[in-house]
Amino acid sequence: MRPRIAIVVPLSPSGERGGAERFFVGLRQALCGAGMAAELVEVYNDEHGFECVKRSYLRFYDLDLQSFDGAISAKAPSYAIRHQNHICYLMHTMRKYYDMFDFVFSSPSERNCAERNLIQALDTSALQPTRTKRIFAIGDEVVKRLWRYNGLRAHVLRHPTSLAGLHDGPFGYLLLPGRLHKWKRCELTIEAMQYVEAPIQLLICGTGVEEERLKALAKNDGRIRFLGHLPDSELIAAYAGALAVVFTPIREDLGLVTQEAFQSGKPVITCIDSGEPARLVRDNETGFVCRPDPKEIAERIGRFINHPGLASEMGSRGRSSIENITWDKVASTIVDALGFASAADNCAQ
Amino acid sequence: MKNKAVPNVPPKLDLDELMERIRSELAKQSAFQKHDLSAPDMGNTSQGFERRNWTARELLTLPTAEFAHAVHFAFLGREPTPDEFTRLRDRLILQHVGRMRVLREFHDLPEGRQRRTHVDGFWRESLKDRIYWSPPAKLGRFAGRAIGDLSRTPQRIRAFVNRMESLERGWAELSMATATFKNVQANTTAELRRLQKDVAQFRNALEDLKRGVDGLEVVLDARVESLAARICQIEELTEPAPDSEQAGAPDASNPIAGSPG
Repeated sequence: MRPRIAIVVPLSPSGERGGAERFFVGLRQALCGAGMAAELVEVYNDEHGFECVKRSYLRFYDLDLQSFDGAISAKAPSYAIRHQNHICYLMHTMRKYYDMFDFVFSSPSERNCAERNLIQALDTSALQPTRTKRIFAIGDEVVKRLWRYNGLRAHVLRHPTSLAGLHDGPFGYLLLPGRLHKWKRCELTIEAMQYVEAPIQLLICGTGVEEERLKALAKNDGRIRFLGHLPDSELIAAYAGALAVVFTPIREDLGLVTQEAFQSGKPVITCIDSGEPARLVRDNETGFVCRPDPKEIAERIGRFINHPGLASEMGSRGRSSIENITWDKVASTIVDALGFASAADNCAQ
Repeated sequence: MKNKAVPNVPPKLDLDELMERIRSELAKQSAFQKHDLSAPDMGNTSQGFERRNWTARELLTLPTAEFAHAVHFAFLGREPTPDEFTRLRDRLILQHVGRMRVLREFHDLPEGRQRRTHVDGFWRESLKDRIYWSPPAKLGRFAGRAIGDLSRTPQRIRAFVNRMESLERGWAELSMATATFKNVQANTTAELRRLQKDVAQFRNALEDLKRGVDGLEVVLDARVESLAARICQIEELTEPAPDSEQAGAPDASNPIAGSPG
């Protein structure tokens, strides 16, 4: 009989599905492939207001998972679950109460600080070794943050993208994929285009709260096009036709964009404070890591335009650099941590 | 050595203790809201929904997501599964299914019947809804609207006349403004023409001046040339006659000296 594993998924009230939901599906498939009977346990999670956040913590805490042999949590506040065989594969905590606190609350009130302290205390106590057997994190950035704010150690376990069918193609334009959110700093690339003289297009895919502001910023430059949300097939085609991918977020947790670009054989331009992308991209080898300055970004873009073979070389090296990030590896590590033997081990025996 | 810095760790507290504290805080808040009629309990956790004895009226006034949750607790006594929640929410938002219809569906579910759940005011709301949507009520509302429209007709005609008058006034003001604008435009055009004429005159004067300067230049050149010729003549006349005995005999000892240059 295959062990039953619960993957606890916080369900957004709007029903919106994005990168995190793809991650859960990928993880489930990988665990099933490793011989587990993995199931997604979706739980309603509302973060509109602090009262709702507290109720969400309680909802996960009260969840009855005793019929499962193991439980995996990944996102705040799902790690408040109670299970004797619980491991956390941490994507992120509620960042607005962590590293983004000063960014979100420019002049925080006492109440804001008290809320922040409560969330950090809840997370710290929920992730103690007595409650969580093992903590894995999707990248170094998350590990660093967990140590800095919660004093907890985690192991890096990078997972690949679940976007299947990425392939290479011509090197035509600059691509900026992802949510149009303040933390993604898309304006850096738009401003960089002012310093790029070549008639190269910048395609921006994705939607978000910042869309109108960014469109206003780019309105005088006919080379910048907003494509909105693209279905997977079109996104894959967009990656395939790019000269390079520009991805300059601030302290990004993982940024699958980098991996997706590499899998498409494209180099990535990122910034020194971009978090995990800055760790994945090797400067001058698989892309460029520069300061978050439009002029510097423009200069790196110029190098790709002026040296046609450079993007192809760097993209190939990028693809090789992520070859060892696989779902199989993720599944076997997690299955080991849960104390089960994976299907591969069984076959070997 | 990585991560050497001392982390900013919040004080260690037990999760159970924290959760019980949060639970009691939220319960107190719910109890307070329950007694406050002006602020009905809109709690959206399983606890908030579970503990409440919902009335049909309260259910009907909830926001969509809360309604989808609460209706499960009210009729089935349990939280919806994620699938049930998503399906119901989509029916409400995307298919615009009426809430009373949803209440009736839940009321008729075998699961609810088995549990013998009771929602206060369900029959009253159901009856009100049926009456509201019955053909006589619809006809009555239609007739009421028609009578209302008729009774408001004189008032509307007056309003229409007033509106026309104000439009006419507006039109007259607009015409006046247009005429003023046209006057200003004509004045500006005339001014521009005058200015152009002055510029042309100035250009002509400038051309004349240029021609005058050119003529003066020619005269001056001729004068300079004649003066130069005159100076040459004077210089020729004033030069002394060469003394052949002193200056003309070549030196016999030097073969180069005295040879023609």
